Amino acid sequence: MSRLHPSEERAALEESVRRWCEDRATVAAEPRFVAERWREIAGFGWLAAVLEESAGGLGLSPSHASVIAEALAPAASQEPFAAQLALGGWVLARARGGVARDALLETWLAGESLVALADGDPAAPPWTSRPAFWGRRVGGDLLLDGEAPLALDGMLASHCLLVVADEREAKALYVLPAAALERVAREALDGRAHASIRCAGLAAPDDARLEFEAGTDAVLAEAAWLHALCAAAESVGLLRAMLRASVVYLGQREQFGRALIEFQVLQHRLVDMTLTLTRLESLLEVARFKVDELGLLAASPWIAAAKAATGEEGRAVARAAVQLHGAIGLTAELALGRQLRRLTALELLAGTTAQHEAHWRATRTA
Amino acid sequence: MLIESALGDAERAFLAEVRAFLAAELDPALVAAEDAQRSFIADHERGNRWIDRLRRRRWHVGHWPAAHGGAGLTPMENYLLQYEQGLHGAPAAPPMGLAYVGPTVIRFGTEAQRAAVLPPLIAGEDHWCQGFSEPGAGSDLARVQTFAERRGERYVINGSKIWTTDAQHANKIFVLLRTRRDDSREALSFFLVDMATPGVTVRPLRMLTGDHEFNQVFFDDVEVGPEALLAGEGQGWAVARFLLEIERGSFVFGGRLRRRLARLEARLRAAGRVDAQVEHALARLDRDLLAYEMTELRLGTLAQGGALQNAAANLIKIDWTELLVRMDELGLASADPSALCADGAPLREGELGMPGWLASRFNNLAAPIYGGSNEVQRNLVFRTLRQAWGSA
Ligand SMILES: Cc1cc2nc3c(=O)[nH]c(=O)nc-3n(C[C@H](O)[C@H](O)[C@H](O)COP(=O)(O)OP(=O)(O)OC[C@H]3O[C@@H](n4cnc5c(N)ncnc54)[C@H](O)[C@@H]3O)c2cc1C
Repeated sequence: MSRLHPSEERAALEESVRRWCEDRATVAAEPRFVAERWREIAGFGWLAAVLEESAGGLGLSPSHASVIAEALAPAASQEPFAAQLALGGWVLARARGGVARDALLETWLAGESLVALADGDPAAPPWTSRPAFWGRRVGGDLLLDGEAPLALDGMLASHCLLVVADEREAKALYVLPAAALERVAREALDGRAHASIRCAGLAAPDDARLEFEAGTDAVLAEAAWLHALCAAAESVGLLRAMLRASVVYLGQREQFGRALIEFQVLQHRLVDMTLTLTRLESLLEVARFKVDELGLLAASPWIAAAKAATGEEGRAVARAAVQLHGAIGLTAELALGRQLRRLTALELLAGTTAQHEAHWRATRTA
Repeated sequence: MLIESALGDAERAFLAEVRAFLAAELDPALVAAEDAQRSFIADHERGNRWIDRLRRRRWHVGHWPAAHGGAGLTPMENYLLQYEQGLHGAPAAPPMGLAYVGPTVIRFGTEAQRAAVLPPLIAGEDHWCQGFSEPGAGSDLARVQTFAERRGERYVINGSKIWTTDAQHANKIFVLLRTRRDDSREALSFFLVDMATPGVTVRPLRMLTGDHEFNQVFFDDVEVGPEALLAGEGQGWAVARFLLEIERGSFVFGGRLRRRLARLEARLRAAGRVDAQVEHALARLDRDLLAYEMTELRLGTLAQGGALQNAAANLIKIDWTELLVRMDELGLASADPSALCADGAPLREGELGMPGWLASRFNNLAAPIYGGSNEVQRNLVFRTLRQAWGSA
């Protein structure tokens, strides 16, 4: 019954990430992406963990990515692990080898380059087909036109993965240097450096096209579900940190002549947060279990359940954490505010709470 | 079952054995009666009928050690056995004897006490009830006042116990008593009493549905010998806590609740009552139940609760009781005025006429109260939370 017990790899990953986070606790509030920290993350092999060995990865099950995301959550506020892993490295690793792809994957794995997925309509569920660019053949050239309104980490990326609908096929992915594209910074509430990405009549060389044995749509859908799983896991990591901070804070803050934690009404609020957190942890474990058992696509109902729950119920836990801190909970100094902003971003990313809820509702009995 | 693919070969074989057993032994009439039950509390007669069948495999004492007459199942095997029984609608077994008293006597009893208590329990000759609560001692259980006065070797008991489930069916009662006239926990002792002893009387108490589940038990100069005392004078609190831990956290209710939700959903759909709002509520309950099933497995069976493992029983108890109540209340979404009257199902004496599901909606309001109320459980979870995370 191996999968009912955490694997050794999982325990080792959790432990190493936890130690890294502790060492970096003091710089956790760093409001910007720091390239050196990202290279450290790469150096530990966390980017490689779930990629196939043939692509330079360690070959662990994709559920392990969510273990890293959960453990990183409290300290790594600016390292775009979930999106880079799911929408970047995972997609590159699934593509057939080629000179451009191999070189990019190598630098990505080393933490030296980041990639951004440039896809369409951010309001649609990310596991649906969402091309952002249209290709037309003019002579021998494929010319691309279009705009990706919200390419995650777009301003950090050296390369973009353009989701293109061309005349022959529904969808294809082209990897192009960011410098060749028109980028407009879109800084997000959680400090992330997203971008809108545009091009008009840009010629895409044939070798920029990524080929997928599994099919482009399937790999993009897989990437979306992996992103959702990691987002749910990161949310759980954040919520646990917020709950712990609340327990500690109430133990320190005195009012009415005693520590606030002595008031039963506050104790019970902490317990209700704990009950919710336990529920979310369990749903996350169900999702991981199903991913290991069935693969990302077939596990989508359970990933959706976990993601919907972390959105809907996480909101209440986070609100309670702010409430229990009083006014100081609304200040910029506290990690709490940063965590709340990131949590809110996660609720809207990788499929919104409502989209995941709808997916769970539609597929739960299947 | 959620985790079936992860089972090892031996567990898989065991699961197949359980399923074959259920297919052979669980007759539809028994299941139908269990499904129509008016309460989540085990039905004495039906539960014991089912225990008679489990007994052939010793599965009624599955998790007891083999040395004491049990089947010696692993926690995981016990989980599978309980889950599948619940899922397939097997009657719930009254827990007071087999689940509570047996393991408690194995843990605290002398050889003579084990020899006296365990065999008739295993054989189904003894039926136990639980005498903890008193009119003046509910949540604050350590305040019980029923007194066992020592006279030489023997004790004389005076006082009363209340809310005693199944006392009307039981021939034995375990009681938490005071053996010293002070308020300390060291004054508490745990006794095993034969209800045929002169001076024990049972008076029925009616639930608000008219159902008869619990009673008040009176002790008037009830004289017992030293063999009735378990674990020595002053050890009552330790014994009671051990037993309460079982009461709160040892059940596997995932399968039973899964069946309940499936039946509720089927009933609502058949009645054409599933609008968008009900659809939403069903999906939410399904999700919360999925989480509960995993919590029950992770914390209850596999002890993977990490820093909060000590609160496992409390977290599980709060979770299943609140889920149960929510399910029952969603049942009201299907109701129309015809639910106000009996639906033709046979009623026992005193029971008020209403559909079984509606009676259970009322009776199950007890679940967040019994076994230590959910507020008290929250106090206990907090204690663990503070120990685990209270200092930065
Ligand atoms: C159907 C049913 C079957 C039962 N069967 C048995 C049985 O077989 N044997 C047996 O011994 N007992 C049995 N009980 C009794 C049960 O254990 C008690 O009801 C329970 O311990 C609560 O005690 P109480 O009812 O006196 O409520 P009280 O203790 O009077 O509590 C009243 C309210 O105050 C809350 N409260 C109390 N203390 C605190 C606190 N410190 N902090 C916050 N809130 C608090 C409670 O949660 C509750 O909401 C049964 C009860 C029911 C309903």
